[in-house]
Amino acid sequence: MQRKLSLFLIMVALVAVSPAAFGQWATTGTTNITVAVGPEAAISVNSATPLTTGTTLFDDYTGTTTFSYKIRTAQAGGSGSITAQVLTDFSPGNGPSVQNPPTAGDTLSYGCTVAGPGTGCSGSIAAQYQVDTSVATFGANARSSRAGDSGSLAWVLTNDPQYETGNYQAVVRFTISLM
Amino acid sequence: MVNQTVSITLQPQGKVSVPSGITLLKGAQAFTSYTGSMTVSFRARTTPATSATVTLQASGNFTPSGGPSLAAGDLTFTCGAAAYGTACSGAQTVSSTSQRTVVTLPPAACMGGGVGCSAADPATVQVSFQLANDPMVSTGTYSLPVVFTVSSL
Repeated sequence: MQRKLSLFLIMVALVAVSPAAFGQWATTGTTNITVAVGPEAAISVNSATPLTTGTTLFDDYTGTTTFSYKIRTAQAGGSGSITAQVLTDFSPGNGPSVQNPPTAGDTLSYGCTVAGPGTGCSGSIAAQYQVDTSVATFGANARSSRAGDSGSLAWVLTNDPQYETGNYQAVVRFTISLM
Repeated sequence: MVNQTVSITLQPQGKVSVPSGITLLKGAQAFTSYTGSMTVSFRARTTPATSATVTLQASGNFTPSGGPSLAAGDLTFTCGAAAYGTACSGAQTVSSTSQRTVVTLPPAACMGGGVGCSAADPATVQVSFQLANDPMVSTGTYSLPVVFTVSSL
């Protein structure tokens, strides 16, 4: 009698497990699709920004870097930022330099224009060698458009007569991050 | 000795079995789409003159509000090869107002082997979902019931 009871219990257990494991059979079946949408950020920057001088002698060199970004910050307490950093100073030497300018006060600076949910930097910002400087900031629940939003940096490089003639190149790294 | 005739009338029938839920996940790159797949199992018997379809339709929209939008066509699905019948071709948008065909079964469909029947019982088809990763969607967890139906029996 005890053995029969055990078999009966096993069969009941199998019957109870089967529907959960394989789903119910019916003319309709429902699946719940779940997605967890988290904070994300991405940026795309144009690869080259030539700086050119104006028509007046020793006008500063100017140029514009454009970028596009996508961002979604957390609804509660989320924030984000875009920063710029002179990763590699101008080369070859004897030209402009962010780290060791030939004359005190020579700068590579920029102003910001940022569309979308970001707040662009205010005024003129002096770029720094291997130090992040602010381009834009984002608050909680900031969301760019589906296609992404755009921004630009207007660069100004001091035109110091101390620079030797030649072509010089620096690398600026843009970073978009979430906090 | 008595002979007795036993007759049986088989009615067209169709049933479907799906997992209770799936989770869509995204890749490592920012703003890549969310994807996930599931197996749809089905059994059907159709009349010689009638085909049948396995369809899917969203029941409402993602909840809570502020989530992905079906109206924007953000949720699509594709079908793998069906073990029986003809699976959908290409990417289909998921709608809450109209059914989308997943598998079309032929007339005189049957399961369990034999001429014209599916050797597999139940037959299966893989359905893969893809959800666009729209930055405009606020962070959070969203859910959408999708109903699979065996129809046109």
